[in-house]
Amino acid sequence: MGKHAKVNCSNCHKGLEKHLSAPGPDTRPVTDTSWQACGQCHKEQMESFMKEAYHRPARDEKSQLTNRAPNPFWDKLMMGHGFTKEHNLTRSHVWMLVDHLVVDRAYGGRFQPKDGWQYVLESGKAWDILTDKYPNTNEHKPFIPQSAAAANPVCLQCKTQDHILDWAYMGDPVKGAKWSRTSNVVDLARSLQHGLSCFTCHDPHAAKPRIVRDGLIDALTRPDGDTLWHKDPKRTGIRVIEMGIRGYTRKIALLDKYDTRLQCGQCHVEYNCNPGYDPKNPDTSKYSVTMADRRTNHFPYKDVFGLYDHYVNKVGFLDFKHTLTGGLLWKAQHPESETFYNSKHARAGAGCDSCHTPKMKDKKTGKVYTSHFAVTPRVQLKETCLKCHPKWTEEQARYTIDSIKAYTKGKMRKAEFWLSALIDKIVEAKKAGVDAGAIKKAQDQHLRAHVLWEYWTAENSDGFHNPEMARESLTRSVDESQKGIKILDDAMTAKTAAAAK
Amino acid sequence: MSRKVYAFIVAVLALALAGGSYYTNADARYKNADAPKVSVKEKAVKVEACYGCHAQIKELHTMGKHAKVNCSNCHKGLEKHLSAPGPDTRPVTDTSWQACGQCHKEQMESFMKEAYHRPARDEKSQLTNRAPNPFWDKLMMGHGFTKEHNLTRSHVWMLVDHLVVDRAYGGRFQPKDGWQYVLESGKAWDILTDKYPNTNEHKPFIPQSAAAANPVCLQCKTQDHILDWAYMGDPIYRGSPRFGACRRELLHECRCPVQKCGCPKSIRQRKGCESGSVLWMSCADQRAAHHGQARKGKLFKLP
Repeated sequence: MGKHAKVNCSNCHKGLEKHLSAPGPDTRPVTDTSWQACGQCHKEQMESFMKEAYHRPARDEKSQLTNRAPNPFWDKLMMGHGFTKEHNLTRSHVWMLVDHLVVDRAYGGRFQPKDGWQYVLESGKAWDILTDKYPNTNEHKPFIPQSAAAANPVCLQCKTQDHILDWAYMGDPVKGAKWSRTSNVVDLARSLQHGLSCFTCHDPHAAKPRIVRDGLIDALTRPDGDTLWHKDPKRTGIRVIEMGIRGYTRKIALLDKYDTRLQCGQCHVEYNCNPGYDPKNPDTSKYSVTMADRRTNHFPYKDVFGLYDHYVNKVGFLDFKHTLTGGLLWKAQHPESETFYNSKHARAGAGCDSCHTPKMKDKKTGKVYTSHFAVTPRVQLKETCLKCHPKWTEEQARYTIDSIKAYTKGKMRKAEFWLSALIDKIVEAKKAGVDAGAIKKAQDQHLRAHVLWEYWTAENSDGFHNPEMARESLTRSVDESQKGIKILDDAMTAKTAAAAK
Repeated sequence: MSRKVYAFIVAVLALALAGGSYYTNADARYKNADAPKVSVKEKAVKVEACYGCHAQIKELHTMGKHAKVNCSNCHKGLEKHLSAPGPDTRPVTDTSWQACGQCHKEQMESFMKEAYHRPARDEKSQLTNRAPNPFWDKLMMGHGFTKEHNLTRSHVWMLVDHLVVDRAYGGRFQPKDGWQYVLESGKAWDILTDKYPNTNEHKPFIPQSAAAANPVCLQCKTQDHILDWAYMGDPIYRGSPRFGACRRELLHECRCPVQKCGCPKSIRQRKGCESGSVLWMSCADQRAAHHGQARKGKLFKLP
């Protein structure tokens, strides 16, 4: 159906002759999942994709006082969650798998760079850059101090799609599928090489835009029809195709047109990718939702205001238990797509590509192509902001971006202050022997306030993608925290008064 | 017309339309810090005619370099006022930057420059800023500045920045064009809009905002109202307590024994009414006085 109709199968698959002479799983051809498979023809796109951004460092820890989720708040508000071990700002796509494998929270420090810190400049296949320090075991545990083994197979769905043919729909552990949600994640990680793949967004056979992330396809085909996409009267049409020739279900969805909110929304979204707790289950001594449960591969695809209800009342899932309060809380992933979906820029017709992967002109050939160097518009203001705001200077564009961020960061700090105060109050109330009902109500307020705040530490724009939503959410977080504090203040006052009688 | 020519014309029209729609998006609403609209030049007046009633102005005007600058440079409606002096024909005083900028071009242009070395709404309680959290919100708990407290911006933006800040008017005043306002300069109400025009209730309208502004705050944000504000902002008139009430409606000045002041004879003859005194009257009393009816009011001696 598409432009690849005349591209021979051998361009991307090896061992075809053997397979054709004796078709079957044993002679299955090898599919080339490398960037170079597409780059043979799409040179500018691949070369731009392989570019690295140096505008901020690698491993730029978010809990630094100058960063998005600063301490002392971060480690207090998230106490008990793996992201307190290491939580960094993003880097270029070409580094994404390597960065996931080395981060202290993911594999307990077992994967380390071969050449020490020089790795931050190296790009290419993951295992050309990294080494497994413990090759004789696949035990998934912390190996170095203050690390965590928090990675699991679902995390990897957004770090690579090298394993696409060996993964059944939703990662269900079904016969024939090599990898699943319940696989040993160390083994799975060892088998992977490339970060974001071209075929994640482009169907290599049809040469059409597509999505492959099962969690998103599942959300868009939910009978409830409750996602942002469902509620969008102008939504891009999708055609879900069953690809399960290997004996298990695999799905892709072709898009009627390029829609970066969906394509980027395969990963730049809030999703659940880990075991956790069913809030209806009173036993929180261990996970009540394990990786065998589909809830561990779940996309709400809703904005921040719908998440409390979605996770608590509809799905029944929360991520972790807070160390100080004992209450169940939620951890966001990076909900850029949902944040942007109904934003002012989106309504004006901009897409993620307008600001992050704009059209560029090749300096030598003059050929216009889509840059695949996904990066902040701050380093390409002329090609992005100034296209729609031609009267602005680059300095003015930067100033506008920074102003929105400064304002939103201010609101984040306020939300953190009050969440911190609420945590202190819960601890104080517990010590004072306040009745369990009041504590539970306050913990619920904590969860509500936490959701409205934490979303923005995970969202990678400091509110720029939707400043109005950020303000509304973060200020409502303060309101919810203050309500929680009042509940406990009232309960403690009543308790003191009763004791005085 | 041949098909080729027809197709060419259609293509050109389509391109023009496309170009038009392209350039009518974001920047169609862009406001530059532009020059004031051209207005009809006020006719020069004989300054002596003004000095006749405005003795203090005479003293000030004749002492400096502006002695030869005609009143009409900064005041409009003079002809009407001179022909029928009185509060009802009071001239308009031009409080814009351009009033001075007509002659002091470099000074005005440099004043209108904007600094971009740090962003707008640069919240001070960010951890890297002047009054960082967790201290700020704890130490100032209960004060409106915990709602939003920013580093300063250029003077040209100071009124707008005061009007939009979350702690001041409860979020009722918002930019017309969203965040693009951070680059816009000029008259405040060309940039901002009141989201609640049907009420002047001063309260928080959006979450975590405050209605902490008051008329005295505005003394350091503008002096547009300088002629309508008594010394120390004393509420020495009756009537609406709302800031912005016009002195013209509430105050009658009497500079007796100058006969051209337009005061009703009954006021001029009032005991204690002498040169340099001011009779403050409510709006209703003033109207009553002009109709020769019983009047109230209080005489003040000017400092």
